[in-house]
Amino acid sequence: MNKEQFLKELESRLKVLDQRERQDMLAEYSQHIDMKVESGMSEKEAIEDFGDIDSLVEELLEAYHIDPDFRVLETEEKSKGKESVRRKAGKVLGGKKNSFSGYLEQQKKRREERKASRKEKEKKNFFQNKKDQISSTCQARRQNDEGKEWPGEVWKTMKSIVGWCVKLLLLLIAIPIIVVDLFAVFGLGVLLILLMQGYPLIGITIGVFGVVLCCSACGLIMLSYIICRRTDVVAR
Amino acid sequence: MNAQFKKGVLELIVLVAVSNRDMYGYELVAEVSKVVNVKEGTIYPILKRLTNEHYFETYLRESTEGPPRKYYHLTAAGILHLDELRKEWEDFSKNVNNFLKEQSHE
Repeated sequence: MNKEQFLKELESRLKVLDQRERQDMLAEYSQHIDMKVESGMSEKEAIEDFGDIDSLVEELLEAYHIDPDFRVLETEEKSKGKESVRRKAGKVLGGKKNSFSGYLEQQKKRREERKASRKEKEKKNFFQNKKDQISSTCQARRQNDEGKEWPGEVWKTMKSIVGWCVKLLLLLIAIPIIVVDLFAVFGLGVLLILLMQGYPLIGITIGVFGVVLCCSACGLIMLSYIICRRTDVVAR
Repeated sequence: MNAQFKKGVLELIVLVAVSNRDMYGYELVAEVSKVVNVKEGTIYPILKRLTNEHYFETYLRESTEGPPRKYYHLTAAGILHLDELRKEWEDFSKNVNNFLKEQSHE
């Protein structure tokens, strides 16, 4: 086999590659053969030193992560042929022609998508579980109460009275807390303005801010508890 | 020489050769042949793979003796990879040597 035949054979085996990559590879081999010939070898010997062309092509394609068993379609219309080859190569490489970095990016994207979808699923499950828990506890409370076989009427009124008492108590506690909260917010505003004007009021401001946070937290917790009990009672 | 041995260690040898100085294909094949006797054609696919994985950078340099030559240069990622491979090889060869020594004493 001489140089031209070898290069032609190599070119045909590497058709799946991008034109530029193929040319690049062929140039390297061509140059190598030339240099060997200069140093005294014959073309045939130089090519024999390359080894088996099949394993050569296989290793070359593996460098681009192409399956060496991929076969190129040879149709009559050159343009159609090129298109189908490009599409096939595109499918093999997942849409990006012939760039290893494109393959890597694609893998990265898939991994990230999978992670993102997993996170979404986890979030959804988490919220679903919470919802289930809340509704199940409310239901359980209702069911518990309904399952009891005491004198029905008496028990019902007892339950509602107790419910109303607790609710009232919480409301009594919650209202002053909310009022204090509102005053604290107002005070915080005043302190901030004074602070801007240069008075040494940083400590007090932080303290009042803390009070605001505490009161709003307590108030909200109590309100939410009140509301829950209310639906519990109303549902009956 | 066992082909499997050669194949395994070829990447390491190529990386070490280029880490000393930038080389072009023919030069590199000559360097590697000093260490192990390999089919010259197999060097180029390895170079191509390492370039695709961004362990090598290539550039063309004019030459007085013919067309411009493509030189291979080791990148920072390549240096890290080389250190990894070197350590792997040292651990591996140490383990194998110890095992052989033990076995021969028994």
